[in-house]
Amino acid sequence: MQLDIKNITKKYGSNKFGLRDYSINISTGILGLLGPNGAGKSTLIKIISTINKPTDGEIFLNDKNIIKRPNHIRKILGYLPQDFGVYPNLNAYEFLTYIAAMKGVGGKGLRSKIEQLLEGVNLIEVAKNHLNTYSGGMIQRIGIAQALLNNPKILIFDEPTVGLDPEERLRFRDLLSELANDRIIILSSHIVSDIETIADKVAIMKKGSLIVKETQNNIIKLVEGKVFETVVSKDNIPNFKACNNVVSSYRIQNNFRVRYITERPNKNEQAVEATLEDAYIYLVKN
Amino acid sequence: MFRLRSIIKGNYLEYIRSYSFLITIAVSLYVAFSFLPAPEANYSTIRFGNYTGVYNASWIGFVTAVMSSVFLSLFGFFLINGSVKKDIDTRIGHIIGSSRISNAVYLLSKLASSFLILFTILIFILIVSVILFFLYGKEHSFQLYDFVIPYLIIVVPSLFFVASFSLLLEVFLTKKVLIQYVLFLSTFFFVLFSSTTKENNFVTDVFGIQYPAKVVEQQIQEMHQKENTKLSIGFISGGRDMDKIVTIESISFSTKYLLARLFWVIIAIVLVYILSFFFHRFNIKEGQNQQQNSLERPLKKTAKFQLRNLAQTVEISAKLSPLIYAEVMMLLRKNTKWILVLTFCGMITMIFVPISISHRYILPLLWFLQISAWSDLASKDETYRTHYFVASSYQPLQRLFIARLVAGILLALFVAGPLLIRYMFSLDIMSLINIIFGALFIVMLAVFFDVLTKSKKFFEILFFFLIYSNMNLVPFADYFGAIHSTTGYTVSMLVLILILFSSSYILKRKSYE
Repeated sequence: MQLDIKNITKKYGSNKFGLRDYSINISTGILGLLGPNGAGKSTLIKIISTINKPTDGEIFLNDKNIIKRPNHIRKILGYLPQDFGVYPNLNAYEFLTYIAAMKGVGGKGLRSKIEQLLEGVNLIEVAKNHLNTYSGGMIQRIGIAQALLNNPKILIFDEPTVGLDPEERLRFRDLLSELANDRIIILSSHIVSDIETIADKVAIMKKGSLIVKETQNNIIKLVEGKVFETVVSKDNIPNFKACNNVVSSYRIQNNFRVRYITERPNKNEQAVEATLEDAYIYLVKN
Repeated sequence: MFRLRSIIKGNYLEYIRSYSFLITIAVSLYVAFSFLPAPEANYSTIRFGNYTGVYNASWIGFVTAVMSSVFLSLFGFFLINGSVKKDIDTRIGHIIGSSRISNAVYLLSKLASSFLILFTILIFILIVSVILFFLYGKEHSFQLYDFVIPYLIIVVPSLFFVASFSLLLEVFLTKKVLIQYVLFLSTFFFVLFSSTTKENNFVTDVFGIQYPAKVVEQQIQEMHQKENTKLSIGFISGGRDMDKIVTIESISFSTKYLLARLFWVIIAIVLVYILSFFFHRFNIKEGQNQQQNSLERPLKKTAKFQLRNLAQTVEISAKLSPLIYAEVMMLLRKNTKWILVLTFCGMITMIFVPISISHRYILPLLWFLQISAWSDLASKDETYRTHYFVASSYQPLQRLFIARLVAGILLALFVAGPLLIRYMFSLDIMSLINIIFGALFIVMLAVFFDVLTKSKKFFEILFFFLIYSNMNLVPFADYFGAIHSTTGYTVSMLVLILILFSSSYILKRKSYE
């Protein structure tokens, strides 16, 4: 399965761009989408999931143009939006049946499929309660369940772990890894660790453009030997942050242990092992 | 003071920058033009017995100011009502509730911003009234005083009071919107009736009609003694050829009247201040219950996300029936229990009372009870934030949109069921068709305005005016064949339904693009 995004541009108004001549080729596996706010991740996701149309460019799913024929992808799409709601007067079972009908699936197997999904997300016990009584985390789980209803071949998750507890987060990552065998999964997240552990490839975006799309190892190689840690006094921290590309800092008594990226380190400093987060900060800030 | 001003500005800008405000202004301009009938039009708005004024500045200023005071108060309530509810729905209420702002400042800011919204509309109406003067009365001298002063003295206090009354209902009946509407309408018509029938009742004359009307009446009496000069307000059909035209001079307002108008402004502010002691500050019982329910839920296990038979396929099915079923469920569950009970009782009543009463009065009332179910039929995805699911679903326009229309129509037909059966037995096919067309029309109207304005409010206001007109058997508002029974009427209804359907369909398709 192949999703080819070719020269997509999304323009808002006369000179504001959501995406600018964006091209990427996505194949089976998990693609992690990283980028700061305003990078165009959500715009890209909305265009792939046929919610928005691009100003220019084309998207092909196995050589079929989905901009012209959106229903071609909709049949096999599972999408979990970042910010979504539910119909409060339906219960979980009714809601999933309704979404299944929207997706154009039904038949005898639907009931057992819904039950399986509700069991999997541990909502089977409360499946007959109206959704207006659900907590935020429970709604998020309903969102995950609806994305899997039609046995999708393309799954798009926008910030899927919001509202899940740490244990659920780990299990959800396992589920994604399992699903990725024969599917395209696009995973957008602000949490680099969510992507770091499972993504086969990572795409980093900035200001509507693709900076890099590579395997994690290849991206990390870009900052190898450039990541350092040092201790900085509390008073010098603002100045240090202003002059260096700081990835993170945490307090140790009256000082700060700072992780930063530089191409010209002090002589006595030793480079530390680089991570995807280091590479992300390096690419986005440069 | 700066804080109050900033909040008022924020509320005001949020409203006037909305698309629905543009439509409101467009409709207000149209209505404002109708306040002063064109010379050839066969209706009148204000008359004293058979007397109306010559179209000079005094008469135009008086008529448009009084009409604005009454109708902008009526319309305006529905426009501004819901400002607190909006903060609940958008969850901004929780931020406000946890901020330093006092209840009094918050509610006063709501009063001021609601007033400013109505005042903005009033300015547009004032401009229209000046245009009307130059259209119909240009041979008379133009006096800006005759326009501006009546508006300021008659209308402004009315708008202030309506804004505070809306807050009163919102504070005490936070989520019971329909009850708020019913209470407002009852109060409105009671006040209007008492201020046009009882004399020397300046203090209870909220709309400020009595004094200026009395001054004009006296002017007419001086010219034509012992004639009937009883005041009539509204859109009064016919009789223009019988009108006697008199010249009305500028109205000078007495100190007592000015104090009475000021009294209503003060009452509005004091009322809001008193309300601040009862304001829930977004700590609403229902919300607490919901939270408690979710905490009490026996969900000790976390989600395992272990899905058996992940690859189990489900059949492809483009059936509409599951969508229609779910939509009908949602429509029914949206209504509160007492509305369902009332609807059921009404349906039973329709079987036993004379068929004409069922058709003319009970049917429109029962349909009116479904207002909240229909009003957001096409825009509920924005309200519930489910629009991404819908937009990425399979053929949303051809399937989901149609399913929603069908569900709405099924509800309307179900409510009309007993009457339809009676007409079926009496073989009155024309009435049967007219009711079915009525059901189609009211649902299409709801969907059309919902899609056009992206808000349910416009349809709700319109439906209130429709039901008011239906109860008064106004022929123009008869959309379900209660008064008309000609083939021409049925055909014109069909055309109207088709226009509404195709417009809604095109607009919805554009929204998906």
